[in-house]
Amino acid sequence: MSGSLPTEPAGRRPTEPTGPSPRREDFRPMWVYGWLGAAGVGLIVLTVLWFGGAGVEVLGTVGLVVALAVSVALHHVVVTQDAGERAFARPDTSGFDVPVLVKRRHVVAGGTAVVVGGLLALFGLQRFAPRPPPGSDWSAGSALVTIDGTRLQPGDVPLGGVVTVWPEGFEGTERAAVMLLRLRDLPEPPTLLDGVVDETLIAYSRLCTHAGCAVALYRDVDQALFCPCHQATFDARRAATPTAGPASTPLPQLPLGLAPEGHIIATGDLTARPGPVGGTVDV
Amino acid sequence: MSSPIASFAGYLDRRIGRRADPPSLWPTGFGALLSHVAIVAFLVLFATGVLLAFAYQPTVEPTVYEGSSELYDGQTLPGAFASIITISEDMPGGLLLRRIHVAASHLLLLSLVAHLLRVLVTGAFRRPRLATHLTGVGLMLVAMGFSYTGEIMPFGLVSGSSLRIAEAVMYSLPFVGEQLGTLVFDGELPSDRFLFLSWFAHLFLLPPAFIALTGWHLWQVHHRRPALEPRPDVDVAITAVGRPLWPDAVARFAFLTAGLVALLMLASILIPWSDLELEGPFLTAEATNSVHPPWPLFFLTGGLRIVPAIEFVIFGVRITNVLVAGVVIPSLLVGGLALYPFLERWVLKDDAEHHRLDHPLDVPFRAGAVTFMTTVALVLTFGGSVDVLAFWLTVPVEGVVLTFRIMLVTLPLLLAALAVRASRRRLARRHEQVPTRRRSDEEVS
Repeated sequence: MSGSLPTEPAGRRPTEPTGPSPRREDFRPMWVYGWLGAAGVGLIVLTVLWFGGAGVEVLGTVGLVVALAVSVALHHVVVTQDAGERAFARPDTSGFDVPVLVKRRHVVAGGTAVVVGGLLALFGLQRFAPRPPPGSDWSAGSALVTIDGTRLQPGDVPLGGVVTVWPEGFEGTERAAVMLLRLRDLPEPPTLLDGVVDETLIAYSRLCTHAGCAVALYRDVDQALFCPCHQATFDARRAATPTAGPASTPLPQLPLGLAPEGHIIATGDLTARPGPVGGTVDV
Repeated sequence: MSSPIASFAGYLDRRIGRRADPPSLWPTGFGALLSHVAIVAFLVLFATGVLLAFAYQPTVEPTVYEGSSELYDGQTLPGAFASIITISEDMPGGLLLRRIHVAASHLLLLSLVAHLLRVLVTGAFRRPRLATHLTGVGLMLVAMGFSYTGEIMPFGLVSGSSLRIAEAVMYSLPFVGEQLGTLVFDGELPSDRFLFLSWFAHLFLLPPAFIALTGWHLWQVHHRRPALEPRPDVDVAITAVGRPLWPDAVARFAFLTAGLVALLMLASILIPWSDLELEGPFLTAEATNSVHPPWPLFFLTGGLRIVPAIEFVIFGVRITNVLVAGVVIPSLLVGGLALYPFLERWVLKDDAEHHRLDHPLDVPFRAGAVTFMTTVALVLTFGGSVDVLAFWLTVPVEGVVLTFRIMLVTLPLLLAALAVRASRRRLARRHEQVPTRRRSDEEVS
């Protein structure tokens, strides 16, 4: 280290080198042009391969070689042209002539405008914007169908089986998605026991009450429904009450019944609005 | 080297070089390196993004994919997902472009996080660089916006879950949440609106915002000069350390660009970034194991997983896990990052200008506060992978979640206390050392 630079009492002075002086090597133009030329040839090869439809590994490797060749050339420039780090000293370190464009009154005015405008927008939103419908597309008598529209008989769901179903005519819609489960054991209160068919066939909304993901996993060991997004766990035997994880509300249950023709139907809408619980409190 | 480039660089230097110090000095130190990496990553993202944008279609309309992907040939897929498969499988070099784009996005976020952390621990944010810090936090938020919208756009299986989660976070807002969610997401899927909004933001809102903020940020850095590292060879009167623009600084930046492009190429060969073929397209009411957002947003999903299942009503507002983890904690974290300089200025009653960087342990309050914020962010980030941790450790996920709940409450305070202690001891040691050194100096003389 060269130690502290001496400072002059007044006035500006030109920049001075600081730190150890750089390793000076002779600049060899042919070295740089050679590597840049190689990179240019590589670039042509890359273009030909690119439009020839080469795979990602080939293109990536050629691209890597081109970039490395450019790096070698530029490294030589960096090393040989480096004049070393320089420092500039002024006796008076304060008094930066920084133009202050944003003044306090601008901040205050802008902030007030944003707050007032934001509050007005939020008020308008709260007052006039539509809210999601309270129920779902399910109603008494809707037949449970799979995504391709097939009606289901109780015998179609094997032990431990889970089938995603929709009301007939609404296949593939998001909020009406329901999963039909065949439990191993009899469901217990607080399950809506009137909505259970064939003793162990039960249906819950597919959308998690936590953050609206699909509760896509069923764990047969403890008959629990498991959401892969945030690990909310629901007890399928007891009205899908949350047993672990971040959810605080049970999954809405779909009351089931049997049509005279033998297929499974809903006997009403879901017991609550499907999907995440909103922050708005209904009074 | 007199060439057109050299004379252009000289012209630039005269135009925008700092008026006070001819010839102007351009920073080439560690702090400059981090920001230059971010700039290179953004340039790569811009170049690859422009090419990808021509082939991408922001629609959920079912289309029949026909192409060389054996898995999806002849299948009906959402338009966006089909266009991603077309880019990956049929467009020349498309998969390479996609992989470089994703790899560069990781590089951008990594360099921004490192940059922000360096600014926080060294106290580079103090007057006169408060506004520079604020624009930097703004850049970080825009980059996170890029991450999120970029994850929605392929419309794969995980995109669908991410979309639902964002909707749930909006719903959780009191009074206006459900209306806002309905407005933005247009009811139930498949709806084009949110995909279109994501695409529009990713292509037409966020890039101009990022470029404008970067320009503003660099303009501020340029005029206020970077704060300098305390070095024995740089005394207090020195206001700028760096290299001339031409050829030193330009050559270094070009070398860095070529090196990083090589690194991204290597990463694209070795790592199948964002390989959506196996994940599959969005399907109504379906989800898969290991649903994760991009890592910069892990702290959000981590909060949603760790914060307990609460639900109570207070003053007509329903407080849920989603409100706390998706709105309150992120707001506190981002607000804390942005406003920490003002807090420190108020707590330490230090309103002076500072042009030298501190050692991370020089100021006990800062050491504690930054450790606290960083630990909260890290616990939440790792909490975003409780399921993966449970799988690796072969323990029930409930146990991992409980551990993270305990860590979230205890670890930040504990580590902050340790940092404050280490900082105080360092200060005490320095106070002891100063007289000792003087005595030995006298003995020598």
